[in-house]
Amino acid sequence: MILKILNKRFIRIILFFFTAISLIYLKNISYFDIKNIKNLFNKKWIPEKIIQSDIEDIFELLTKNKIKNFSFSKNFLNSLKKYEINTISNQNYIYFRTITYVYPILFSLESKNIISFYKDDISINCKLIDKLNNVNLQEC
Amino acid sequence: MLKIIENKSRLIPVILVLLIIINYMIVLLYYNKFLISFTAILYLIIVILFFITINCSLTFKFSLICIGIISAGHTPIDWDAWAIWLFHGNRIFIEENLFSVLDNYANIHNSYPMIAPSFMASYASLIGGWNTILPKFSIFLLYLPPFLYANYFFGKKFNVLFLLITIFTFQSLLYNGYLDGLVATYFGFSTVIYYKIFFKKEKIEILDFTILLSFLIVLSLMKNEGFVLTVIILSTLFYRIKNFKKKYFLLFLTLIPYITWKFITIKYGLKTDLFEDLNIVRFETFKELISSIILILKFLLFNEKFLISFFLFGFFFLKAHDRTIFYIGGYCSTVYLLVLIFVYLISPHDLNWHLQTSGVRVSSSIYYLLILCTLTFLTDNKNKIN
Repeated sequence: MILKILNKRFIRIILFFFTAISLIYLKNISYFDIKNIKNLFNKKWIPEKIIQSDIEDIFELLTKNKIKNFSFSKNFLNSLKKYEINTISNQNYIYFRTITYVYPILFSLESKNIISFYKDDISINCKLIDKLNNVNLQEC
Repeated sequence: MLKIIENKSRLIPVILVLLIIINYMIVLLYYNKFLISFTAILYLIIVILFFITINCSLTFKFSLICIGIISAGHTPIDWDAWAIWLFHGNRIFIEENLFSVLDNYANIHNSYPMIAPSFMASYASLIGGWNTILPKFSIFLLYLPPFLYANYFFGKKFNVLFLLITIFTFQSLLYNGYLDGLVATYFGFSTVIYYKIFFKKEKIEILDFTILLSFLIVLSLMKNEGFVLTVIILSTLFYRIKNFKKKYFLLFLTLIPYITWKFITIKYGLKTDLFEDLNIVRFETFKELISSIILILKFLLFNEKFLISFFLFGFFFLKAHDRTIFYIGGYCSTVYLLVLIFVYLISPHDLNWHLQTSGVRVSSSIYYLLILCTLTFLTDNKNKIN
């Protein structure tokens, strides 16, 4: 009887020990940030390091200039490969991440507001409206 | 007294899963900020009520709270989480309309079922803004109906073991905003509850039957795979064709919400990427077909999680006198494996890439079911094990 109780207690301790280790492991493989918990109910909170700096720049340019729709330069769009949609390819990441992050500012292929990434990507027929680090906003 | 406690520990998951469905219905039929915020807050209150009132092991409660904290603190950086689920939820929240996704904006899997994004939108409505973290945390809340039901289902003896296995199986899927863990959980629980109701020849209780119907509805509305899995579970009813009862038809009604959604998306010209660019190149030569199947099996089955669950499943299958649960688990997982092989064979994407990015998480439904069946067998036979 005593052995049985000891066994049960031993199993419980072992289970607790393994569960604790698994939880620590879970925490270690996550991108855990205590600030997210503090701001769980803060509607204006934007988690840190959620996006690349280029996308933050695009968002800032679009909101600062009160742009309602945008597109990317032809050079950039031509570099996209559809079959790589979910890969970490930088172009695909920037393309989809921008579309999802800046919403409700809409992506439209017909838009006059063009986002390009380097100085030499500014077309002759376009006017540079604003720029921030690597990112240019043009009107074409 | 015991009966009341037992019923309460079953009643709370039933109420929670019904709230998920009600929330989806409100978002679908009559988007109302107040109503969906109300369902969101009610959901949280009932969860808190569980932690206060239900008497279960401290380790179980403590582990669930810890997973919740990790989920709330995790920054969502994984592709499917932000590109598909959080984005759909954000669109529903901003446009205040579930049908806003039907314009196929950005062509990001807009035909997928929307129960999870609707749930996220209700939590964004609760705080009046989209802060990404709370909507993503709501994905973890969707795990709670099956997890809390597990407390009743597996009892004090096995509930911690169940959680340990779940953490081992899903790992980051528990908090990163992907829905594959949810699909596997609802699939596993639907199967074992289904077994308890229809194959153990116990008296059908209204609470168990309600939770089965609700789990099947949520499963089918979670992802396209969820619908396939629901059909697989229901296909086992034909085994009972001789004793087919009228109430069995109720189970088939669980498919209607998904079929309705699919009908709407097809009407609006939305297609699923896999079937849009159907690829039959891998069927052209026998050699190509075989090498593709070997590659698929390598990604789906040759990992430690599958091998451990398969070993345990096989071990207890050989030990068991009544093997019904193993037959059902074996049947459902094998049929789903065949479906997955077929889907990967017709995939328009590069097979290696497609398997690398989705293989393990999609196959989690298979090994999670195997392990849940084994755990159900152990729970049923706990007295003999003693």
